[in-house]
Amino acid sequence: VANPFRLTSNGTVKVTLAKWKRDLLAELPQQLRDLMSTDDPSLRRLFPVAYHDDDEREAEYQRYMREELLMSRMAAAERATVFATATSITVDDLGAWVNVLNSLRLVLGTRLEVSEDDIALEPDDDRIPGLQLYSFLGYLVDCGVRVLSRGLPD
Amino acid sequence: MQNQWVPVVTPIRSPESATDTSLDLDRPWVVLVWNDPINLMSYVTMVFQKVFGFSKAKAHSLMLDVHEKGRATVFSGPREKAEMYVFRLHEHGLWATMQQDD
Repeated sequence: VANPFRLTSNGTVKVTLAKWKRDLLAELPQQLRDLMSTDDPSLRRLFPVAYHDDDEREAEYQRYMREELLMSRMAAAERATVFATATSITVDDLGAWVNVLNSLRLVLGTRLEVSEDDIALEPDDDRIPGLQLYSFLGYLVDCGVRVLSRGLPD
Repeated sequence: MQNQWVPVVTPIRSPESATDTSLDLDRPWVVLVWNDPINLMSYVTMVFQKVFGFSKAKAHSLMLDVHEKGRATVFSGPREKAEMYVFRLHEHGLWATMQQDD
C-alpha cells in the first residue's frame, strides 16, 4: 500500500486518503477532546507520572504542568480535525497530526489492554473493530514517521 | 588528587549529614524512558531525534535499549532541564520519568 503522505518537491506534504477515512480522522480528534474533558482512566498514558519515586515533587509537577499538557493536547486535536480534510499540509502540520494519531492510539491501546504478546481472537470478538482502528492508526503513524524522519539529521 | 604527606582525615558523619540536601544538589537528575507495548519503534526513534537532536543511529540504539532492557537513560543533568525533557517526551506520548541519580 502506498504512503498516504507524500513529500512534494516544494516541501509540502500531499495527503491522499479515501473520503470515509478522512471523515473518521476528522471525527476522532473531536472525540479525544471530549474525552480529555473527563477523567477517564484510558487517558492515563496521555498524562503520565513524572517523578515516579517522589510523591511531593510529583504533586507539584502536576499542579504546574498538567494544565499545560492538556492545553497542548486540546490545541493539537483541534488542528488535527482540519488536517483530516486537507489535501496539502506542511511538514510541521504532519508532525502535529502524527502526535494526535499517536495519542488516539495510546487511548485505544490502553482501553484494549494491548500487550506485546499476540492477542488470540475469535471471529465474534467484540474487540475486533477497536483493534482494526488501532492497527489503522499505527499504519498512519508509521507512514507519517517515514516522511518526518527525512527532515531530521542522520 | 591529594599529596602524600597530607594526613588523610576521615570525616565523621552524623546521621543528619548523610541526608544533607546540599550534597543532593550535586547529584544529577536522570530522565528514563520506559518500554511500553503501544508506541511504535519507528515513532520512538523519531521522537528521540526530534526532542534531543540525536543522530538517527544514537536514537535507534537508545530505542532498542528501551525495548530490550525495559528502560533507558536519555538525559542526565540539572533538574529544570530534566523536567523540560520529561514534559516534551510526555507531549509526544512517551512514558518518561525522572529521578535523582544514585
